[in-house]
Amino acid sequence: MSLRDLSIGTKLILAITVVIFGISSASNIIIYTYQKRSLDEQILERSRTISELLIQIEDHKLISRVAAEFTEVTGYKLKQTSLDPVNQKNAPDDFEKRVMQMFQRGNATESYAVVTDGDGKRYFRYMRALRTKEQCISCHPGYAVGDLRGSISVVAPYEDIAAATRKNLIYILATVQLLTISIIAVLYYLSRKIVSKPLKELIKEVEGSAKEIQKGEEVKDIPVRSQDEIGMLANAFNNLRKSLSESFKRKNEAIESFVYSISHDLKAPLRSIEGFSTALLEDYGDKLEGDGKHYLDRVIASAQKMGVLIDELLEYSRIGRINLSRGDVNVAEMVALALEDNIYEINKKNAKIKIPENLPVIKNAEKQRIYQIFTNLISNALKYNDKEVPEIEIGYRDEGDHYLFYVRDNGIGFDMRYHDKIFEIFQRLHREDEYRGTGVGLAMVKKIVETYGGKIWAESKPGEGSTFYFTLPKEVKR
Amino acid sequence: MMNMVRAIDILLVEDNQDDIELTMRAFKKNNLGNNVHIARDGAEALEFLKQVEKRDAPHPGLILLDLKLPKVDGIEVLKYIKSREILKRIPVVMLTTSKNDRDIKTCYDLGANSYIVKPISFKDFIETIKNIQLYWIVTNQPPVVG
Repeated sequence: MSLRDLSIGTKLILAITVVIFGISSASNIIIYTYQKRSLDEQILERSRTISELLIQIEDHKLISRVAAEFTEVTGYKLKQTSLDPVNQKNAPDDFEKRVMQMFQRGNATESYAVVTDGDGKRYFRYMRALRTKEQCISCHPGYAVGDLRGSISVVAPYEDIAAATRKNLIYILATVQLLTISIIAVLYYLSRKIVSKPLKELIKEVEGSAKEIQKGEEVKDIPVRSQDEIGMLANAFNNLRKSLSESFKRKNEAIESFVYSISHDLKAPLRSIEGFSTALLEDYGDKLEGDGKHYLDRVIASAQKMGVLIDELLEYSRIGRINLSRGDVNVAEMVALALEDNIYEINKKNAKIKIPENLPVIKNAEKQRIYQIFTNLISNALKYNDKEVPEIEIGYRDEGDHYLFYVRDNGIGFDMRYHDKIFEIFQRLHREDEYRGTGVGLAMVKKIVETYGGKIWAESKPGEGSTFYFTLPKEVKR
Repeated sequence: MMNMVRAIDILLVEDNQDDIELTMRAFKKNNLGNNVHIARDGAEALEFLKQVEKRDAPHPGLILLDLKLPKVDGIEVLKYIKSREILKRIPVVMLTTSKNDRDIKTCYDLGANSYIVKPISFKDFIETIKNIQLYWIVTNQPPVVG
């Protein structure tokens, strides 16, 4: 998985973490440097002040007392030293010797450095040059004014002070880090709330919508919850879906009106074929020999079949495109009409029909369409039935905002493998000489049910009959 | 008296030769073939109707009018008939292949008396012609011309 595949929330958090840690590290370095420098300056200032003070004092005894006092308070060691010490106690160490040699060579009055001593500890060393003044000469003969007489040496225990400062620094840095982590946590929470969560919701809704489109269900707009980019995305999706469905609808309409006009134009020559064949048979039938009459019958039968096919195709193309008059449709009446339409087959096959006493009313529906649903399903139930006594049962169930109807038979059934195929136009499972049909009926039923916002499906097993289920809204919308 | 004015029974306005022959066959089967005048397009129909107005041609008792006609459309012919004092009471039966709802509406709006979609099946067609004849020529009482 590459960085690119991480979720937007994770990417944001990563970016924020990098930036904030960068900033906090930089500020830590700045704080540390500043603290260190101010420590050096503090020690230097103290050393300088005390040295200056000691130089001013003439009373030697007082000098010792002040020095002792200062050492007690600050922990700094004070020492007077000379390259030519009277008292061996005042003999210079290596550092002091080096600095004083430097003082001797030039005019410098002070020098300081952080020095690691023999014991491995670091010390802040400060040295102030003592130059011979006029009043000194009386007590210290042999010196000229300005000659280096010795130095005041201040030794500050750098390590301890630095350690104390460092402790301080650790607290500061810890606070900064803690602050950093809490800022990241807050930003993480906010980014989830502001970006990741609404985006995930949007994705879920778009996917749900896509599924509905795939199923051919009516799709509602996904909600636009904000006016920000995510809201705009939701809006853009809605617009895309709308224009897609509109262009799909337009194309569909164009195809259907094309089918309509083609079928329409096919009708006229067909009528001629059938008409003149019939005329030929009527007027000259007795002059035809052998199979002549039979062939003519075949021409007429085929023309008639094509006529039925074209009529069905025309009717199919009209569903949903042509609005018939709408109103309350009593399903019981339509079932009765459909049964009457199939009465010849029912009587011939001696079929048993079971209908519930009450059937509902569908509001804002077209009579013709409801009738077409039932007449097609009933005619199929009779047609695809080889039982001694064909049985057809019609029923329904109230399911809230819609009714679930079913038409059950004890016919030949079908393999559920072909479930989707039987609802497709011109798709048949049987040869023409087995069962006559055009393959429009079920497609027509499906189209009616779906334009009314319902669903249709079937359950069947070869040899064990079929049940066709379909739903119709209690009130058809449009 | 009425039979004297009604010199022809039907004006058939139809451009399709096959349909003309089949319609004529149907008429003949119902013993009506001799009283039909045929116009092959809208212009021919208008010309004939103008002669009827001038009494140069016999007044038809029924007009069978196709919609899609060459030169002058069936709708135009219908408009003309229904706008003329002498012609407007002649029953006009639209006999067409169009099942278009707008066509049907327009025709009735313009005063067509009936609208019939030609059946594909010849048997049904003969039946339809028979029904038209039975209703419009026998059952229906047309206004007296004059």
